[in-house]
Amino acid sequence: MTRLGIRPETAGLSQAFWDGARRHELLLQRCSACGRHWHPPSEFCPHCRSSTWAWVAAAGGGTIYSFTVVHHAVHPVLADRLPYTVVLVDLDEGARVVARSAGAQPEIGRRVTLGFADYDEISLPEFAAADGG
Amino acid sequence: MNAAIVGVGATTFSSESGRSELALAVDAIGAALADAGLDAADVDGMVRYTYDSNGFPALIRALGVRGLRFFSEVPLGGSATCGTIAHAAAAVDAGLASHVVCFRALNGRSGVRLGRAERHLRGGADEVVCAGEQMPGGVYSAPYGLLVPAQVMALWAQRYAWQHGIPLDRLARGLGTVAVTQRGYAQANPRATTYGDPLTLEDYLAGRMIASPLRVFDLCRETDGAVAIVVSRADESRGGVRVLAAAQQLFPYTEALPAYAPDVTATIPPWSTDDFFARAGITRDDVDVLGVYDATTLSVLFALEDFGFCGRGEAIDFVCDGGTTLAGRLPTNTSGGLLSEAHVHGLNIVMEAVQQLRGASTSQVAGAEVALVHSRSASLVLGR
Repeated sequence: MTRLGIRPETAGLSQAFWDGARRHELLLQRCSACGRHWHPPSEFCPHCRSSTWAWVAAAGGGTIYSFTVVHHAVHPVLADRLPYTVVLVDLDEGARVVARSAGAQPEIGRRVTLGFADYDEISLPEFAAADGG
Repeated sequence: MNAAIVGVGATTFSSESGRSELALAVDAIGAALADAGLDAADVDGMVRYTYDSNGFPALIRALGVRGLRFFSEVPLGGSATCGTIAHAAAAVDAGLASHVVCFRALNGRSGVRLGRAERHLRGGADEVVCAGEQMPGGVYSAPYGLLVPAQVMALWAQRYAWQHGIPLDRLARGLGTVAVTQRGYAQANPRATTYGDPLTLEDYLAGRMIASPLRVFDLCRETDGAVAIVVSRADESRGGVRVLAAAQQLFPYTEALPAYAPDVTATIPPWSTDDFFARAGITRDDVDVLGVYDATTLSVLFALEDFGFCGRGEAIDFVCDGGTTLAGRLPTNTSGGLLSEAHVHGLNIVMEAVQQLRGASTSQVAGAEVALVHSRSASLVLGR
């Protein structure tokens, strides 16, 4: 494995999220009251204010909401990564996540499938075109 | 509101002030008080940006302020710019204070840079640590390399183009026209950091890509400098610029740099802007000049659409038809803005609106009576 260079300092909800990613699960919270999902993690359901919820692993399907290809390193630790692509993905469960892009340049509106890229420190959720293109 | 802006002041704007942020604040506040015809002893209220390094205790000692009856601060960075004036106007209107100073002082280029990630990351060259949940730079964004505002705005820009079927070369022409128009204004403004350094659309297009589709000239200018603004009661001041309405705005998931909002291309909901104009006692047709917190060129397009000066997805047509030039329907960021004057975290945009209403801008809009200033999480209508 290679070094990512950036390590999240985790506790509580964020620790659960990144521990899940290490097991190749993209964890969302699912509300026990209204059944809806959310990200980023919060103690409360943003739809109905319930504080009763459970972690569930995203099924893996989603749609690209937006993306950017970054060509400028805003910190020395990113210099070796250039250029790199960041995507926003609307998961089928209804939550949006930031993620890494795998494969060809993303297209907004395109169906994508979840995978993971393993680094020394953490595993990053990544998405590739669902049709493999 | 019974509130008026009675004084504005600024330091010189540079890339390396060589002075402390306290010295910058004292300099700008002194200039604003002199402009208002007030002494430090008259000041009984202050509003700071939460981001500012200057706390009230050290600042009032340095200034010679006798005491404060009102002080507050506004979070969310530059998106809060107009919120400082909102607090000050509410305070004088309610009688909590008589003369309130709003200020922002930063070594934004030679000190902590908002366009760099060091402020979010701890550690050395090998491994750095991110913490917290802020967007960008927190634990759900930094590991992917999403760390600075321009990258988030690039995500907005890409989505904006897609949502409205705008080809990327048309987007570039629209954003480039914003950059070139504002650089043109800066050529009349000796205070601007780009004074004497004009920009053409060809220069813009040749600029290097930072985070697609945003190029280097889409981004504002990190700056060392300070701006201060004095707010007093309107009925006790002569010649002040009236605060006709002030609003702060915060909606779920549309906080300063949203990535999770249902629609990242709308900075505020439509019902909010209609209500705002009504409270100011104006319609949008009354607005003569616009000031926008232009962290990137995209902010100008969004503001034009958010406030209904053109339809959704039509702001590029508006700017390419010259709508934001001096001869256009709505001259915008006439000092050069954050893009071409300076990034004093937005307070220089408020200062320019005041200069327009005083008839003292370096790019004066003839007969300007009403200015709209928008900084995403707060807005002002100013009138003379």
